[in-house]
Amino acid sequence: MIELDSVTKVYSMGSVEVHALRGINLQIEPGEFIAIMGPSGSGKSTLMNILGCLDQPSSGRYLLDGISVAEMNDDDLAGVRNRKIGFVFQNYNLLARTSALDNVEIPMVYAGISTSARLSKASNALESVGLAGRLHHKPNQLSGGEQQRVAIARSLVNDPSIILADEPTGNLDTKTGREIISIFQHLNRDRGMTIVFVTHDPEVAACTRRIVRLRDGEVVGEERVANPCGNDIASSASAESQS
Amino acid sequence: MNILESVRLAIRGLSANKLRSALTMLGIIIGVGAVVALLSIGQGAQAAITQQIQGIGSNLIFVFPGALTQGGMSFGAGSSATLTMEDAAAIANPLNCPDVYAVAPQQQRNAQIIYRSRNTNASVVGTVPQFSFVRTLEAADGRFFDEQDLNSSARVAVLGAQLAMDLFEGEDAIGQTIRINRVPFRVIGTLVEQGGGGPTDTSLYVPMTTAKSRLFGSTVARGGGTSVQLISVSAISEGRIDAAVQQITELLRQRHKIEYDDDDFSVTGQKDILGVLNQVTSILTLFLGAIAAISLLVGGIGIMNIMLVSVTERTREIGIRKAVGAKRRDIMVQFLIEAMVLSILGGVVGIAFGAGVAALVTATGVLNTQVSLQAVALAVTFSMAVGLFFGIYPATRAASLNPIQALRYE
Repeated sequence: MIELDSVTKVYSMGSVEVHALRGINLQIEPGEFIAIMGPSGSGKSTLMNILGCLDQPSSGRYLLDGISVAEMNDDDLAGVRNRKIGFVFQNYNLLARTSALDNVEIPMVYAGISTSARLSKASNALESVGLAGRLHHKPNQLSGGEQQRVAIARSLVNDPSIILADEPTGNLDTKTGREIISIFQHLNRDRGMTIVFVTHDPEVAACTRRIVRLRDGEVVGEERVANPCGNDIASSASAESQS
Repeated sequence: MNILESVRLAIRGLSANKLRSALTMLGIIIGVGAVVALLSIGQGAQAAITQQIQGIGSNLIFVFPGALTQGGMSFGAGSSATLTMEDAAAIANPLNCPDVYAVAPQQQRNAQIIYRSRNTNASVVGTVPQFSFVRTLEAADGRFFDEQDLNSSARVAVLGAQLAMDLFEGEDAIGQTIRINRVPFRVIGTLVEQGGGGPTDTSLYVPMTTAKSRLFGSTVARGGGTSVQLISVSAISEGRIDAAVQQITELLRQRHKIEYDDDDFSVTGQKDILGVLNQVTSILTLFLGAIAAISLLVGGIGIMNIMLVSVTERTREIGIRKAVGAKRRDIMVQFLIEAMVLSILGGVVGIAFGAGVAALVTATGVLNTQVSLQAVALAVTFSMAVGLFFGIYPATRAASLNPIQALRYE
């Protein structure tokens, strides 16, 4: 459950003040699948940084599962990111020279989970994104789609309240992109995970269930998606969906 | 995140760049190696000097003519002729100096020594039979001269081990005749080798009486009497050395009619000499260690340099780790431990390297080096401290990176 109440963000670049966000009000319920859309410069990256607790609002309130995040210090924020937020980035952001398994284990290392529990959880997460046979491959031995699956597995392992995906298909071809999106759809439908996409791509946004449009740091529109992804992705995603 | 995990992570991080890590460690290896090797050599030298000084006699006190300079000792023995045979006899009298056990005055001069066609230059020491006791000289072959030889001014000589070797080259020396400044002497004994390059092995000992009548002629002291260059005195026990020094000093002041502190002689215990020499070698060892420590410091700067490069290179990794929940402390500890692993590993290899150098020096036979636990502990502590000190700045820099900027870093 996420609540943003008139959140603003002001950057000062020298003497000039840049208003990246000008009072955002937004509620995201548990189990939602939502896309934040907007052209570049609309403030969607800033919003994502704030939602992801990487950054703090200049004013306004941000409640994450009832906890007010705005007053927290850096280390408390790190703890919140660790337990409540999963990140998926456009460029995957995996550690090079580190196996898929070890990459997925990282959030659990900082959560203080024992080595044996980490191993089983990490391999389960990798299996759930279809990488059972790739546990010990390093990022440079994996395709883009596979790397993004590792990143998704990493975002899942600590059972976060919310997964934030920043242009998750931006570096992938259309077909692989659809596969990745269908993984998110499964996580949302089958495991009830709350997922937030940040994207400028209308096709990707159309696969979520609610779209929030941002322009110049303000919410300018909001719509429900009646039929996510139309037909083709839904059918390619899996047989059990949409029934 | 526990320490073991951090160490594992650090080793993985370092092994990703093996050559670089090895080169960085080399700085520490050389530094620690130099500290260990030089301290070992210094301590070996100190032990050798101690052994040598202790080897020249038991409960030994030296009485030199001429006043000593400040600070305990001077090597100006014989610089002025103020001590006499009569002084020596007075010291030997138990009524004057109850804590003195034996007294051996000596007079020495360099002379030409000839045996058949071989000749050499050696220090000829004229002394008394007590000399062999006071200076703990043992005869390897034959005997030291006795009272009878002294009283009869016998032309007999006792040879130091090295001198005997040089002159006779393994032949039996006893009973042979050598010439000292063309005066024939019969060899009656050779001494056990003392080692360490001391003067005893290369000297030749003759009765004082013979030396005066046949070799040197006698020198008249300032106050009258036959002068001697040095009086070696043995105290009755180690505990009475200080008392004996006091008694001798007072006696000689009386005999020389000295009222204030302007003594024309000096009395020095063996311990004082040892103390001064030990002080000198300690300072020297410390000095060498300090120079070696500077190279350790340079090694530490190398670590800092590489860690700073590493932090920059791995900005993105730091961003990822922070995004998934690493706290400031976690990042700090990760980089600090990497620096520590570098320095400790370098320290361990450096100790082995230093011990190897020390062993090599021992093997050459110049010196018996001693790798002390102290030196090793010092090196380990110092290298750890270097790792910690030079690791803190890069680690702090890594820990304080902003995760958003770190994630965007290309």
